[in-house]
Amino acid sequence: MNAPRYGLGVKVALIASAIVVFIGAGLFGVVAYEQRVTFQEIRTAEMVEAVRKTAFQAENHLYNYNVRELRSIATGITEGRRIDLVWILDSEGRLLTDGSPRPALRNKRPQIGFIDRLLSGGLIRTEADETNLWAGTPVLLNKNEILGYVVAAVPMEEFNNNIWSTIQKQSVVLGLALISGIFAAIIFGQRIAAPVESLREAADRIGKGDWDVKLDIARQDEIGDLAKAINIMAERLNDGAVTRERLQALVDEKTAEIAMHRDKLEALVEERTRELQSAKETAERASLAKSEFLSSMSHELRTPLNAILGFGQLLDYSDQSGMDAEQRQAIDYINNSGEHLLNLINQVLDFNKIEDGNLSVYVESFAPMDDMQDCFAIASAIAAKHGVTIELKKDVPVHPAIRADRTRFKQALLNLMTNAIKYNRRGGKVFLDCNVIDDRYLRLIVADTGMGIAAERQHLMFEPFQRLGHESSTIEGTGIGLTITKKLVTLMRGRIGFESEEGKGSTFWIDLPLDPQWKEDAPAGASSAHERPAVIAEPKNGKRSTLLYVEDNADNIRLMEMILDKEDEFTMISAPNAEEGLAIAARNTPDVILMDINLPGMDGFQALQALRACDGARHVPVIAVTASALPSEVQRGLDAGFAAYLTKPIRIDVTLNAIREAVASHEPGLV
Amino acid sequence: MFQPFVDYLADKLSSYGIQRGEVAVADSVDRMASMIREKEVDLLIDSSVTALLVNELAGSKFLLRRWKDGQDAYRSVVVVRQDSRFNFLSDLAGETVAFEEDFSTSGFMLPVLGMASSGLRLVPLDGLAQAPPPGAVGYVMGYDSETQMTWVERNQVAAAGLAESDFKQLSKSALVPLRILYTSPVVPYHVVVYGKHLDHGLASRIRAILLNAHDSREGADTLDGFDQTTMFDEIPADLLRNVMTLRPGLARLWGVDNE
Repeated sequence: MNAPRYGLGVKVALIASAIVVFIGAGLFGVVAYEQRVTFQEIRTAEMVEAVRKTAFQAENHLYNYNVRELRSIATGITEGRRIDLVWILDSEGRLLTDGSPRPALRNKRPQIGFIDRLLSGGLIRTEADETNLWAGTPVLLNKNEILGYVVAAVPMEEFNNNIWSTIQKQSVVLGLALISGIFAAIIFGQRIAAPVESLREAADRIGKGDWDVKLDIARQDEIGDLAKAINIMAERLNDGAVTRERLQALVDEKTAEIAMHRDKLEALVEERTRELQSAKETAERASLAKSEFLSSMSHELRTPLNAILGFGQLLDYSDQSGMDAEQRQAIDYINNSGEHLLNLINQVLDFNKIEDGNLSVYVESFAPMDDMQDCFAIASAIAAKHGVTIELKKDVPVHPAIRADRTRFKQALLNLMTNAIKYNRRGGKVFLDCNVIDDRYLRLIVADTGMGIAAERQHLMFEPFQRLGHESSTIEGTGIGLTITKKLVTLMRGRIGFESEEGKGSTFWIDLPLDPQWKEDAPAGASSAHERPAVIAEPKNGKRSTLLYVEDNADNIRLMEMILDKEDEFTMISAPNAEEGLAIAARNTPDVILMDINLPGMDGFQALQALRACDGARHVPVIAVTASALPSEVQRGLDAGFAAYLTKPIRIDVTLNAIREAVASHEPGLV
Repeated sequence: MFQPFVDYLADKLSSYGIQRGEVAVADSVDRMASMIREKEVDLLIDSSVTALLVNELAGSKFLLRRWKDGQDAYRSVVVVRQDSRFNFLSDLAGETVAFEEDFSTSGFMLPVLGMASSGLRLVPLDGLAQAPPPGAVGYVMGYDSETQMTWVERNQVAAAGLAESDFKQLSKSALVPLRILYTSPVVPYHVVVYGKHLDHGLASRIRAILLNAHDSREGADTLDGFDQTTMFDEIPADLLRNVMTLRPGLARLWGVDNE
């Protein structure tokens, strides 16, 4: 609820009226009090003067008890001095006269306290009691003998009446003053409020944008000054409005120009954006095409390479007694070149993934010693061919587990070791060592006594396609191995670095994060099926096992036939696609099935699902064979239910081991 | 105060050729007696003793009694303190006595006539401080019965002569007990006398007018306006006799020769 609103005029009138009333009442009170005091003092003085004069006049007559004269004196005193009562008493205080003939108190002593006190001694005395103001004096004869007393009194009622009369008179004056004050206050308030109202209206108009305000208030005071100020302000605002309008027009003009330029610029940007988008799309299509090409080429290259390396291994495992040295060397060239080609293909694929941002790692916890041993064994074979001695430091402690992608870990370590071997001199040495750094990292150190790297080229060490002076040498290499290695290490949240001195050798190291929660006996990180140590399972005595190989590449089928023929324990049947393979499996119930994943039509995963739905072949172990070596694919295969997952190009020993293990685990009569 | 009464009376006497009346005031008994003798004054209204004295001096005669303020007659007393040694007027010889004033019938003439009849010789004194001559009674004028009483009460004088009515009133507030030593005869309060030159019929007419004045509204108002006159009536015979008994003493004291 809003409080009532009172105008300035009303407030001024109220305040001024209140002040008038306040001052009037104050003056009223002060004057009344002063008047009472003054009046009493005056009357007292009058009475004192009267009794003194009376005493003087009455002296002789008191001496003679001339009541007639005393009466006359008393009457004269009362008539002249507004004194209501005069008593002339004898020396005993008895009344001789009060001015009236035959007074009632004649010859009697008035029973008044004042008379008692007057007769008790002293000279002139004045007193005020509830009813009267008294004055009295003794009448002395020769200042010794008391002839009598003169007493005068006026009733207090006189004072009250006098004050009341004064109050009535002052009330009239105060009332008139109040009315006049209120009237003046109202006029004054209106004189203030009216121009203030005009000022407010002017301010409202200005506030609403109406600046054509001209106040006509010609007062020589603050309100007049304020009116002038508002007039000046309105003029300035008007002037400012004109200037602002001009500025606004200029701003509008420039804004239009800017808008035009902006439109042009936007059109240009859109055009350029379209061009860039087109170029980007073209580049993306090209990149995609390249990736698809590389992927396709990789697969396409792996398939024949599988045959080449397979047959090469077959020759290597076969009886070579009938071969001369050149033939055996040729077999080595075939295998070495095949392995190199495979490595090249893998590196190209990895590099392509790095460029596309698709290179990923599958991080797990594992104890890396076995993997180091594997790498050491592989590198030892390569080192032997290069006439380089490779050494694993024997004092390597039992290291805790690391968090890394096991395959990529070995890839990186092998890359460093093969580089140390390749860029070494005959008779040179390579050392493999490891340390724990800051309790956070496992550092793998590969040191060599090779050629070393010139200091001015060391900054290019991890740049792609940098062979640092070996471009035309006979040393095989693509120049992207270290680039891939660094990327892999980085993806595994590790670090890589090196120190090198030209002519003396290099030391490369990789730091991979330790797993602080690793436990020695934890099963995690154990070797997976496809990478189990090459412990060859024993063949089944006296019984040939039936192996169904579903593969669309005839060379691979032939290769597998030749591998198995040499073992004399398998009978292999094959199918060029999954559909036929399923039919054969249902019909013959093989002991084990090798299933290519990339088949025309139904792929290997679909075929596995179909087999698991087939009553006859539901329990037959199926080993996947694929050209895709991505860890995610391997895991996907194992999760789908494949007994093992072999990657092309296959290694004969690994393949046979996987087959035998699968067969051994499958005993048809028991399931 | 007096003229309206005179006009009233004159108006009533128009049939007698009286066209107007006048008021005359004399400053002494002798002057008044002279004016009556000279026929300048036809009627006199005064106290009975004063009127007797004027009659003695001018030959005028009593006509009627005047009631003033309801009072028709009075007498005087001579008072002394109760504890005084005075038992007779004659005991006052050699003492000072207070009277009221010279022209007062009750405060002076009646007491003095009484005292004189007792053989006392009265001598005026200048004041209370003056001692009376041996064998005589000295007297002072108090000019006020209250003062006279006060003097007696406070032993300023031996006795005071005053109207009995005043004494009775003042004795109520007396300082000490008092007693009456002498009481005068009762005399009319005021009387009307007429000059002997006045026609008898006119005098009778005046008598009739005055006797009936208070019966009419106009007359009553006129009488009341005339110094609170209540009415006029015939002078009772006993009172007239009392007055007349004063003639010897009066003649002796004021030296009036009887015609």
